[in-house]
Amino acid sequence: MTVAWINRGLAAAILVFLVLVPPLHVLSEFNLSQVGTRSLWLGIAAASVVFLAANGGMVSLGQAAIYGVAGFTYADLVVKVGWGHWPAIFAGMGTAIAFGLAVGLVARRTTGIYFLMLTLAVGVIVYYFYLQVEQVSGQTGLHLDRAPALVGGDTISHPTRLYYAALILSALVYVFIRYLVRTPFGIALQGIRDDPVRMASLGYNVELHRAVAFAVGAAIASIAGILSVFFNLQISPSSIDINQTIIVLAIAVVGGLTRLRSSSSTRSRGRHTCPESCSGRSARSGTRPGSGCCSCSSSSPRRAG
Amino acid sequence: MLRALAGPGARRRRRLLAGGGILAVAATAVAVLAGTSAARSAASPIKIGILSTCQGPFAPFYPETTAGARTALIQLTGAKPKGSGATSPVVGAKIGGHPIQLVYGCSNAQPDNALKEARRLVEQVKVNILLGPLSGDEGIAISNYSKKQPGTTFVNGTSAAQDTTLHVRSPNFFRFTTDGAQWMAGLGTYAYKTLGWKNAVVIGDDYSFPYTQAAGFVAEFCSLGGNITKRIWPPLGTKDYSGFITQIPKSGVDGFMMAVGGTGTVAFVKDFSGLAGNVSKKMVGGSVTIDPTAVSALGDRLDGVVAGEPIPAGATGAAWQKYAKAITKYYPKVSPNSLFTAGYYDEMWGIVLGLKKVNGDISGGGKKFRAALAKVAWSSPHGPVKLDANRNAIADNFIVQVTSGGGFKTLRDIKNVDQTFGGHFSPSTPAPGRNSPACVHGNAPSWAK
Amino acid sequence: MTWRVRIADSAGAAAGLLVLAFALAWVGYKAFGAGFGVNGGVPDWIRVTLSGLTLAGLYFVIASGFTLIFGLMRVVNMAHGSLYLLGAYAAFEFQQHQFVSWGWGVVLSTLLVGFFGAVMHQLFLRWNQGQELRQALITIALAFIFGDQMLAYFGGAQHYVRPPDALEGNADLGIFCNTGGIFAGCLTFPWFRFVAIGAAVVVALGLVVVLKKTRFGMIVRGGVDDGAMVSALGVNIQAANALAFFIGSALAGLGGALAGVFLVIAPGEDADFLLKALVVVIVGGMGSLGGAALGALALGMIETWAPQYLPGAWSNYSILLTFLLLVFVLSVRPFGLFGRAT
Repeated sequence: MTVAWINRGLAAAILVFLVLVPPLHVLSEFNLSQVGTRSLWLGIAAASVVFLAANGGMVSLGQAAIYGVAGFTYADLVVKVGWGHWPAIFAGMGTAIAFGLAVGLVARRTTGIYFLMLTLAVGVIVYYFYLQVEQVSGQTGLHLDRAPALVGGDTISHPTRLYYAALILSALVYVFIRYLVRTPFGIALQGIRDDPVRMASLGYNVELHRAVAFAVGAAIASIAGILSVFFNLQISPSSIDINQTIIVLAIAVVGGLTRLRSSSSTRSRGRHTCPESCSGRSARSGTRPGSGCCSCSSSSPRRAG
Repeated sequence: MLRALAGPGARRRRRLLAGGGILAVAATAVAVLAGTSAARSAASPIKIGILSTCQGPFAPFYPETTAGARTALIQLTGAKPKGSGATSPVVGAKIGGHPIQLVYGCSNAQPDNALKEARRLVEQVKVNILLGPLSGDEGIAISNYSKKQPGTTFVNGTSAAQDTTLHVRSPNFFRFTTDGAQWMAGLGTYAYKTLGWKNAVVIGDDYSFPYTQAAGFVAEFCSLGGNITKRIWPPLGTKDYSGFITQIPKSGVDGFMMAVGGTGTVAFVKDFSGLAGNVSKKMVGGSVTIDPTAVSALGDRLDGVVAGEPIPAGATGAAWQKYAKAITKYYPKVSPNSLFTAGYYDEMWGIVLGLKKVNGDISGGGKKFRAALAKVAWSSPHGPVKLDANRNAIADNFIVQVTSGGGFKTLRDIKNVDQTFGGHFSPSTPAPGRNSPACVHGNAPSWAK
Repeated sequence: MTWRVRIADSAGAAAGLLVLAFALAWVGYKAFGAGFGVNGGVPDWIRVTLSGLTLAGLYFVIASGFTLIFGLMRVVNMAHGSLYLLGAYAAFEFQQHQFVSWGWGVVLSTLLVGFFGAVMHQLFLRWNQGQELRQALITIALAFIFGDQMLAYFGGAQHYVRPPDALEGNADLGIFCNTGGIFAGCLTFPWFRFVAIGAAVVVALGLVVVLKKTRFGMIVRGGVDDGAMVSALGVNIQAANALAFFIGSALAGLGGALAGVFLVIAPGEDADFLLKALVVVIVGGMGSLGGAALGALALGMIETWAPQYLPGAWSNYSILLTFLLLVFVLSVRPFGLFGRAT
């Protein structure tokens, strides 16, 4: 309990610090934007990886592609079709979510390392799609004059508003994920991660849950995609290439693929489902003292077939 | 509250704090007293950022670009090089009392990455002048970005997409080199008149720089009466060109023009010779197609191939020899016959001449400096260089042939090629692409007649 | 699995077969529709098909090593492409320094890369056996490190390995002779590419013999089915693992040394060939040698047929096809054509 409170205090302190960074001038404008804002939007992209890995047991290498779909659609609609910013932004996010759902449906029965490969392939397809189809991008990419006024318009010269926008959205994403993992959907998802066979026999539609979870991940990633366009005022296929995919994954891994989830979900999971999923594995590969369930969740798909 | 935070007052306050301490306060006081910012300390350094590529497909050209830029600085300011490495320092460069500082940036030839590096150099290191980038799409990204940084002067590296100056036209972006289409001046004439081609095929890497190169070739070749039978664009990263080579029609085609952006020449020429023999007489090349690294890798397989180049590789004239000797003297590992060496050399030469004109005064965001820079003109190792209204160079172009033994021979020198290419390109013509420009007969550029 | 899933599977498989039949019919029409003369589609069909078979052979050599390692150890070696590139550079270096003849250069590069892979396994992958994801991430990191080191050492320029004199040049097939044009002369094909096809056949036969006839092969086959059981039966699984990693890496090295001759060696090829190997074994099914052969054939043919036979402007999108194939196979058969749920 005390540890939890210390954690909460620490989190609150960090949040206050982040809010106060611009007025205190502790960072130069460059660092505020290139370190602060960049970390925030990459963090949102990584959060979608972590959400899927921690709660669905799905390690995705396709999140960069999905935020690319959002970013490209937004930029295309503004630059090539001449839409206003806000309709284009929502259309971009909507497209990314629909795309995520489609990928989720294709991958609904694919688990573990195969899921990793499939999403990697999706990432490469999206990259080549935007590289090759000149009508939507081509290698040159798309350049915007400015972002919406709400986030500061010319975000390169005036980065402070975008920083706050990214900060607020990061906080919202965090709260949203915390909320979602406590809903029946979130709990069912964790159950599926740990023992899909049991969940299926309990009457849950395992595959649909996976697909929907992936769409939710896509929704989170699409926010990052829009922010990245605000941030760079351009997007090109190199924004979503394999290096970028690895960067997003690396952020998620360094942060802990199974870490960013609410304490309550850990508790609810810890008592019931996890020992089940560990038992088969720990019997084979020896004991794992004190490691709880974190390390087995990612390798559990071995039993998933 | 947000607006207040983002306002100019907040920024000025921050800059003061960031500058930190008495020095900044004193400097501001002086500025205020003098009533003009021109009085900023006479010895304030001028920071020049050099943006090139040290990763990705253009990585081999990194030492060439930095050597070219530094050699120009050494020759014009009497500075001394310390070491001959890719980023070894140059000491004692001064213009009007202002010491010149060089800062290096490095991208992987992708626009995203170039933008990140440019922002680091401009926003964090706070360079006054950014020299770069190297490759086509990077240039388009940087010239778009330059519009957002009106207080910094941007000078292109060797990036040669047409859009960069013709369509984006950022007021603080300068290019003392010519674009990829200009680099092709004379090649269409060579193919049509010397080789006697009537029908040709275009093959190139699928992105903006080869499009631009093809545009120059197509415009000139067609204006004389030639026809383009087919345009084939293998995707970047193609391993085996067989499936693209076989797309060349088997009859009714006299030859093809091959434009790569980076290092595709080796794979293409090998695959071609496996299916259809020697490329000589069948192929004319884009400017990077006969880059010295490709020629040395392929040995005699490129013998006799002709390409359009912005530099007279292997020329024997005094000006070119002087340049080549200077490069070899200071940076012996670098080839002066590479357009990347010469390109960065020219750009730096233009910068230094501009700085000398204003005696190193880059105050007030460099307005005076840029006005001077737009008027800079000089006689370069490869002929006269000056800028047009879009701040793109008007310069000579050359037809160069690979000789047996891996050397180069300049066949023809075309004077004063401008970006409109004899009236074929303007801000209202569509950007070069997979199918543009169309093949239109007539209206040949002056050098083609 | 429910009946609904089964129907969806059958429908998907039927659709797949239909698309395949249509594609083959289209290629056949384009190749043979205009007759069998020199101006018909046959000469080009021979050219691209032979090129496709060459690529398929190369992909098989590389992917068989990948699938062998995965089959026994469940290690997805994301540094496999780096081993390929290392083999290519090694063969290049041996030739540059005129150290040994071309043939010995290939042998030495193969052994060197095999050894390198075995060391990598002992240092980075032995202690976390069974943690698939962690190992995949570790090897991704290693791939980045190796890639940068090779770039620093070998530079960014493209290289290739010269074949021995006997294999240099083209085989003149003496058919479909053109009198003029770009392709003047008879149909030719580089000698060395035939060698690559032959090497793939030899590797395939060798692997079949090893897997079916030797004790090591027995352990591998057992390990694919149930690694824990094999180990419980008292087999020294660690030794078998090390050997499998050696052979798998050596095959990547061999692929690199061969590809160095008829493709090019350049930075970035490591990531490309990792993707190729992944596509091949995922389509075929991880751990299955036959699957790897089929996957390699599919990939090689798509890569050369697609630009040639896709209509007009669509040939720009040929590169997308290989990945669409992958997504399609996985959505119908989540473990690949010959893969099994593990």
